[in-house]
Amino acid sequence: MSSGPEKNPRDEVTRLLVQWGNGDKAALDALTPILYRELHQLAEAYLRRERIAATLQPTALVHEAYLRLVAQNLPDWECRSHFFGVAAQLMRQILVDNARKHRSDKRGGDAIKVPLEEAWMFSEQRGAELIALDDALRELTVFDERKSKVMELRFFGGLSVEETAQTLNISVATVGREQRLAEAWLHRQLNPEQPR
Amino acid sequence: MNPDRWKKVDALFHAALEQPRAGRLEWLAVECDDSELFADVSALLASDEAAEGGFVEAKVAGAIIDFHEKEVATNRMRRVGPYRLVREQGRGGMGTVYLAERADDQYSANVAIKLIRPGMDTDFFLSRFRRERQTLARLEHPNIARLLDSGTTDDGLPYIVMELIDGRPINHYCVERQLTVDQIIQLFLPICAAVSHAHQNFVVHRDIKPGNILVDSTGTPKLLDFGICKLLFTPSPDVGTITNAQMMSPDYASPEQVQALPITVASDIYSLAAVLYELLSGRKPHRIAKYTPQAVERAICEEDVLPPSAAVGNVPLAKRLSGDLDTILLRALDKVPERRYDSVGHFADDLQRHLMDLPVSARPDTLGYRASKFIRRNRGALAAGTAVGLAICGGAIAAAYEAVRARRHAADARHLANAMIFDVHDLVRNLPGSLEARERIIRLGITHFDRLAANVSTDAQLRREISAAYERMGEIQGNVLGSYRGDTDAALSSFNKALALLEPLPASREVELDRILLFQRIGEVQAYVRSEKEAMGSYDAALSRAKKLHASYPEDNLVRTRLADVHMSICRTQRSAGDRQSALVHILDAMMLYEEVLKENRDDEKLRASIASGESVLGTILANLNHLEAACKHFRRAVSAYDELLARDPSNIHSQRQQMLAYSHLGEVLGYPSYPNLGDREGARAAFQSMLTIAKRLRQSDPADQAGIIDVGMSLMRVAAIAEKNAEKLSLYREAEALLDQVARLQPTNSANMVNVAAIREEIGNTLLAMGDREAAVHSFKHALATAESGRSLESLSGQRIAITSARSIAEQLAMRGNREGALVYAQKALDVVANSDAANNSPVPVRSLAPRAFHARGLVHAILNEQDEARIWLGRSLAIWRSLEGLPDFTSAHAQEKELVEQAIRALQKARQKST
Repeated sequence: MSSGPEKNPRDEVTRLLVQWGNGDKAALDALTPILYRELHQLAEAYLRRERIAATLQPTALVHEAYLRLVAQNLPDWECRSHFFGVAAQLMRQILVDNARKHRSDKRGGDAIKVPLEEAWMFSEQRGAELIALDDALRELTVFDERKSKVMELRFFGGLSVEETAQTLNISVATVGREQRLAEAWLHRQLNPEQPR
Repeated sequence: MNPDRWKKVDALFHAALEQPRAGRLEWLAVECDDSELFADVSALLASDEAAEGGFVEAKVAGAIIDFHEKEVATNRMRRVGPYRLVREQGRGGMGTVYLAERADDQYSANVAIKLIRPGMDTDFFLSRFRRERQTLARLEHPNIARLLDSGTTDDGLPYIVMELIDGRPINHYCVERQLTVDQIIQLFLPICAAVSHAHQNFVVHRDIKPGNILVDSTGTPKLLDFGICKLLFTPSPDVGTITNAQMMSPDYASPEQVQALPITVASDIYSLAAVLYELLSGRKPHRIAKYTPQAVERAICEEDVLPPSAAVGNVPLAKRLSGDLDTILLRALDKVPERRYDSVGHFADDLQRHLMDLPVSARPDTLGYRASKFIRRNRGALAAGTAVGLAICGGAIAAAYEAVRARRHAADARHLANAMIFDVHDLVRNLPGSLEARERIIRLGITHFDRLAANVSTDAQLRREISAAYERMGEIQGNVLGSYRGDTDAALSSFNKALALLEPLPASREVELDRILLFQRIGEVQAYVRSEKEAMGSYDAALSRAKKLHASYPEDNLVRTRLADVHMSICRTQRSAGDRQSALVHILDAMMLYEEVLKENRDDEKLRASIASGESVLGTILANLNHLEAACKHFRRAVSAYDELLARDPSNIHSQRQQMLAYSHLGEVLGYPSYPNLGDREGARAAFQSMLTIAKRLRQSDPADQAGIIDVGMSLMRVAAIAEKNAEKLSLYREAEALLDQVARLQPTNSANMVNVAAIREEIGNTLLAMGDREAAVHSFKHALATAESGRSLESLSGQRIAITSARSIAEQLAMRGNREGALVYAQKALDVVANSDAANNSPVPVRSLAPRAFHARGLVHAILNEQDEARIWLGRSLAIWRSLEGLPDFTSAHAQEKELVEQAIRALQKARQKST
């Protein structure tokens, strides 16, 4: 992306981030569609490049989005962590929206037998799982918001433990502990048949 | 959960984790105020153990795949060539069908466009898709969906434009219109005609099902979706085509399809009958309980099909279907392909006859007929090849996935995954004809392990397990010494992944053993396809570590074996680099270590195999050092060692192949003209025949295996060399050439094979020359030269030698025709090869004998053209070098013959000079 007379998307995003950092809520609204589109394109580019669907690591995506969108000389760590927080949230939103939308696309009476190979990776299954995860996270937020945020940052945002710690202003050890219990709790929520 | 209580749970949970695992629950019981608290925390602790690392991430990853498939695909692909996509219509095995219209509004008719689905656009599926395109272009029939256009999108994805068939699947159509039996058959017959048309064009559909037969508004049935069809009688352009039994719908699949056996027109007949069965009776011919490979195979291959009349409850309908229709359908649904109708036309005829109340030809069902079952299941290790292999693998894979998805204990999931890779792999590895099964394991395994590897942290045990799995994978992918297909880049990738996983682990004995093996494997692959220099680097790493380990554990047999294996590998590489002395040292080290281990492990089959192959290698090295009798002795030992191994394990491909190679070497030493030999022509012939027999047998059991093709080619080459009659020689050489050429197209980077092809072409030239056909001979020599110069062939000594001697032969012939300029060009080519080789004074004789051959070439040209002074200079140079090499140990009789040729040429020159004076 070369800078021309047109607004450089990077500058735009940087500007919006700074504004948002200064408390301008409207900046977030403006930021959202840009980020959305960027993540979209990244996901597609990534998959196209790799061509093997299963080896995708979501961690890569958000970092790349950050690099591409934000000017390198952004000094304020707070802005960065805001960015990551927003991106993680958006990523989650995009994916869940997608899953919910297509959940209603159930195929009609013509029960097409899915080729066996696909049955294992049948997307309806994946969609349902993600929705279940999202629901569980929402439940968690009610009585422990921080843990939910940790999970969101780590897995939808792809942040490392250190970055998560900085974003939430807690210690690395705390992130580890929060994540561990959150995972155990989620696992239990998503597997009700486990013996109590 | 209220926040205060949760805080308690949180604190207790983490405090409990700090307690040692044994006694943790007891500790917790004491600490908890009430039993409910205890229940909650202990349940969370249990979940903590059960949660497979990365399960959250896996869900997110899955969601992203989904997201991509659904959102992005349709949005991006709006325009396809001159068409605009309107909406998605349906999904097939690997393509999605869209309703589309022309973007330029040229015609108003809508069309159907089929695009390969994202996520399916790997090279594998792309080539399949392109084939579908080609196939459709050949077929034109009123009942086959017509191909209107085809092309490639900007992204490089192929698409097919077909006539849009606005219709209902035939099974729905029949039900909705409540068609009678007669009407159903009438509707069905044109589809038979369509399939018949396809068969006459050598195309088998392979995926006939109601979803692929649409009936349009005029009541015309149309056949669609030739997506996984196959062309008969045409050699498949990509030998790597997997029959992939799992790609079509199991409900209408024939037994041979499900077992990945060869598909013929009979398979289509089966599927057609299955569809008709459903149309007439409302039920499918098979009751498939679960769509797992095991259940599917059982239902289709073992369980009998009920006669259609027995499958319906309605009495009048049952009466109508009984008799002819029962007989016709059951015949077409026979589990043995040969017992079905031999053509679709024949099947359709019987249906037609039935409609006209004429007697049908199908035999009535008798008891004896029913008594013979199609499959004899034998789940022992010597099972019937691909069928069982796939079924077992399929079952194991399905089981592994079930376990993972059911989120059982993490160790179980890991265990199952490992079982899938190790146990099943070992079972499948030695079955002839099981390459497809192995490929399937590879692909699924890599997917699974990449995911595990991405999430594994410091768990040493897990790291080692996954590392070992990658190592196995790499072995399958790149093992060119066995009969596997060689995908060397993939193999290296797997090995390097394996190494990376071990990197952070401390250097324990186990980890070192793993590392040593990996360095060795990497070296092997590098040695086979790339330059030997890179391989030596890897080998050095392996060897130094192995030696260190041996010093620390001198009595340890596992360490001894590993060290010996490395020595062997290095020996092999150094041999091909020409350093025989060093190779001999290494192999002697290796054999000594093996013998040590054998003392305490007399029944170790793998060890015996190592020793057997060691004998063979030792023989080769000795032969190269011109100790022919000793070499012979060791080759014979190798042959009988393999006899012993094969007596215990007859279907072992590796042993068969190694024995074949031992026969090859034996024959060479006994009497192969190109090498120093003992002059026992008869013995050589017998040995080469044995070699050829084994090679052919191996190839038959696994036709897709490229290494097998190479082996037959090499065997033919050898038998040809020994053959007495030129005509016989020529035909054998040509046969060999055709085979190896086929391999060369598929493995353009395999320079070893290229060199062999060049050698054959040169021999063909020599034979033609002996038969007096100079013109054809020159043509062959030119071909040989071009081949020797292609790719990296000139990096090998043999390649260089062949280039030089071929060029020389051409130059000679051209000179004899009086074409001075042409002759010198070729003589110069020979000299250029020498200039580019690095032959120093301490190089081995074969390397240094390139130059005199090239000088000889030039001298020969001048001599023939009677340019005496020039001739003398060049021939003299050649002879000088030959003389200097003469006393050396690796100066062979072939070299002596060359020297003799030069001396003859010089003598002829002198005679000519005397005449003229």
